[in-house]
Amino acid sequence: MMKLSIMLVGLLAYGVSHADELTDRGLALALAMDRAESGYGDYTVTVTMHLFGRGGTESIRELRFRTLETENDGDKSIVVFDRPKDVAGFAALTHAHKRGTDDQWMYLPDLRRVKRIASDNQAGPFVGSEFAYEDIGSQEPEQYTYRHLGDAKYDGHACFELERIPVNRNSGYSRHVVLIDQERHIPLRIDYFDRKGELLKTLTYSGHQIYLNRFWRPDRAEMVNHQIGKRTVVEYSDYRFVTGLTEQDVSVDALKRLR
Amino acid sequence: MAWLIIILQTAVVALMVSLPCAAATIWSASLALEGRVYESPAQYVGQAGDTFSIRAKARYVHDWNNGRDVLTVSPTFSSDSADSRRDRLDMDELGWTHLMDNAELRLGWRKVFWGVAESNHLVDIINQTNLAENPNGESKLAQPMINIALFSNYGTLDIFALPGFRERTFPGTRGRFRGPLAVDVGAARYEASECNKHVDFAVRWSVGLGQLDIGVSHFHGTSREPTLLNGTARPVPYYPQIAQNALDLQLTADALIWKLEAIRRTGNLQSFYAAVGGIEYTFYGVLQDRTDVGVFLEYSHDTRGTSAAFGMDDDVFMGLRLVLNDSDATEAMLGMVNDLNGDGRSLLIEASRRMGENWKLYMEGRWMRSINRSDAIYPARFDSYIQVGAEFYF
Repeated sequence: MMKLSIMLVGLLAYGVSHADELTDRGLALALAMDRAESGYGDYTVTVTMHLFGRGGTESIRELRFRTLETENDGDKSIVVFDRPKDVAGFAALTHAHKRGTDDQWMYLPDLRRVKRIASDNQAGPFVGSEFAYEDIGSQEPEQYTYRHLGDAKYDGHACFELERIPVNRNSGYSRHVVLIDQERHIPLRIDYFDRKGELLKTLTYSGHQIYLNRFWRPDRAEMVNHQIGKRTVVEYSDYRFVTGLTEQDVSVDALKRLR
Repeated sequence: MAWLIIILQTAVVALMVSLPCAAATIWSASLALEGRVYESPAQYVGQAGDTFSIRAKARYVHDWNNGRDVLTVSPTFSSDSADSRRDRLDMDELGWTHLMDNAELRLGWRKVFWGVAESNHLVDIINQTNLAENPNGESKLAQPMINIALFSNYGTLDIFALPGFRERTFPGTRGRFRGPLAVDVGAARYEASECNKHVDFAVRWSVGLGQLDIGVSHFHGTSREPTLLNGTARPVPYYPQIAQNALDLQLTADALIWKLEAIRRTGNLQSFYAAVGGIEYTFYGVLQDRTDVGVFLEYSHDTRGTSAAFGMDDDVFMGLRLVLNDSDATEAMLGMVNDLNGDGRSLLIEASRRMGENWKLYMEGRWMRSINRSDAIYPARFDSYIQVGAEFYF
């Protein structure tokens, strides 16, 4: 973060061509979005996912997340599955990194086995939903390069239109286009383009509420896959901030004592 | 050392009757029905053919003190249409854990898994194997324990006192996966003068250093793996006193994972080295951008030779895992174990998928071919089977 700010100041000081200016403005928007999102310390949230198939079929996932912010690196988080019941008690731990691949572990409750797993699976679907692992993971400014495309109006909000290009070659996307609320610096809509450059998915956030007088969080997110006609609706409930989580609560040993 | 068991029982019972309020409780239960069909008719006197079994499991978890105290009660019940040794009412878990700053105390009947390999679990030594339940040795029995885990920047140190030895289960007269005569479990013998009352001790240090995970462990006490004595009417399990030093390593280098488990076991009866090592590589999103394909290659070596556990003395395991990443969580695993001493090979298959909200369907199969006469699994070479089950979650 510090490094990036210095880099940004440096870039601004030199202030070169128009293309660079768009890049700089893009990065500034991303940093502003990151600032608006960070500093919560820790939080827990309950998530209900509705997976809608093409024939209107619906299946439901219930998950609990706990996330601890760390200084100078990505978040540490645990997700525990409650539903469907055959996977109740399964859990995953992620130590996200600003650079390089994340560290990831899986807990298999029947065997009491914690398994360190490869985290290259960024583009893979999360619990069979339309969300990829990279869509739900910790978002760090270092993960993308940016371009400010212009301004737009979305759902009554004046927005910045920001293009993000993933740095990681394992990403399933060529680019994202993010609409950022100019007032609150939060993302309202993200279009995901596949490796061939075609529009793949659209994510929209709604029902934002403010927590601790500072953090805007959505009650609902919807991911529509335009190419296969499936969608996933996510409901967030029971947000709790500053719950007193410590490193011990997001460690490999913590996986074994979840319930 | 029956007092240790009594302390454990008293502690757990005392906790159960004096649960404070302002706490959370989670209940779950499941019931499974499964059938096992054998490829060949029974070879030995008394053995039955295809079987049907039922398995029930409940789990009650109660936590308080902001989640720092957790009580778990998880009884299991299983019954088999043929082999009474597969009839069992047991505790999968019954215990209390208490989290402190930088330490955790765990008391009761629990399961602990150590190791990294897929085809052979050499380092994993705390729990006894429920061999009557599944010939693959993956089914375990809960072990009474007092376990203290100490957390620091230098990794986790786990110290175990293990009172109350649990004997290995073996298929009975009506069961398959045995030699000509069923093991006489009632006549088990021990090297220790305290017999099954010997208190075992174990310690494990584990640490993650970037991509590398290291585990070093020591066990001292009654071997979980008995030697079968043949001088009597039926084979009798003999449990020697052993010491085992072990190392497990995993290097997670992106999609390529390197694994190694190595043990040195010493005892008056027998001392040996054994190791299993290999790689796992995953190809992500190969079919329709969704399906993951994992490949495994592992080699096992055991200086006991043909008397190695599960006959894994000089064997190569090749595996293929398919994970469809669909909303029904469909996955399948195909494996082959090749004995490098001869032509013996076993083909393994496992698959499962969810059906609706509350059901899960699963199958498992094992085919054995050209098993070497001297191999540990030779007596069971006609017991190739396929098993199909359905589990309902309440």
